[in-house]
Amino acid sequence: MECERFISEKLLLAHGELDRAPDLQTHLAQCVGCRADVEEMREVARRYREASSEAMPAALRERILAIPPLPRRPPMWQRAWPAVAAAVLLAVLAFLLFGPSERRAPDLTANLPLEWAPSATAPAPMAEEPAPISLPAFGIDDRLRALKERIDIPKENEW
Amino acid sequence: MQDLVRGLQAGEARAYERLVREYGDRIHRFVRRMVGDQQADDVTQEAFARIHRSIASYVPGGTFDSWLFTIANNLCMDVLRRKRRERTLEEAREPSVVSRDPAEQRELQEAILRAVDRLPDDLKQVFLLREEAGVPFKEIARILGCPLNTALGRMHYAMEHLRASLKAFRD
Ligand SMILES: [Zn+2]
Repeated sequence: MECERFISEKLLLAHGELDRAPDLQTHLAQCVGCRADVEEMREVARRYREASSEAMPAALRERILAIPPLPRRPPMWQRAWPAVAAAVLLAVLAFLLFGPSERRAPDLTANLPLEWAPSATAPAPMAEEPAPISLPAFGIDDRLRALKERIDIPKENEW
Repeated sequence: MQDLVRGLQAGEARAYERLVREYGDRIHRFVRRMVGDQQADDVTQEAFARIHRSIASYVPGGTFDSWLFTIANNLCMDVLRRKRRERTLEEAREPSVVSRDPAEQRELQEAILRAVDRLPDDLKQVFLLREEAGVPFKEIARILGCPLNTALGRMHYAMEHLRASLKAFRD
């Protein structure tokens, strides 16, 4: 029978899930039975929704609300921040120390604000042509160590 | 909805309260009609505990609703499987029908809830996912891991049963 072909489409139509179905529309225009099918399915759905309306018991709601929340997790970008900051800093240091030889390493410690902290202030911009450095009284390792001591990378649990 | 998910993932108490407010009754009704009165509360509570635990790993794919009801549905299916094993000579459980509101059409409402309760589990599951949970058929097929036509076929038989019950009630 032709009506059998439209079982699925009638269900989808009755639930507002059918976009376009010209064959079904043509069929419905001629078939009283299928029109009644769609109407009755809608009625069942409506009757069910009217009947099914009870709220959950208050005691259950309390129990569900009492489920302890999970520990708060900061978003990924916040958790990754210290690592990213350290990586960027090391990359800059490496470039400045071991980069193109015609540009000699500038005095790194000179431009850093005394109270440097991540995210607080951006480092002062580099001069266009870094002034030739006067050789320091102590070695480059000491300078790096001094620099590291001033940069306090926060631990993860502080974020 | 994205706000709700983000809030839940951040562990915000307010987001969790909103989840319970917006979905609590619906999930409870779904569970109740699936597994019956006796276990409805415990299963609902477990569903919320699982939602809570898994929200961190929730990845938007289908709708949030179908994600929630997948969890509730899986728990119900576990309970039904266990019940099927246990049910031997035991009589069929009492219909989970309670009319708390003294509406005029109370009898008709009770009739339809009784009819839903009498549906075979696989038909009832599709019917409730569509009519109680509001999950579209395509999503239902995904939740059940079956072809769309299988889900629609089950819904068709569920509808046949329920239409017959409505007719019988009227006659
Ligand atoms: Zn027809």
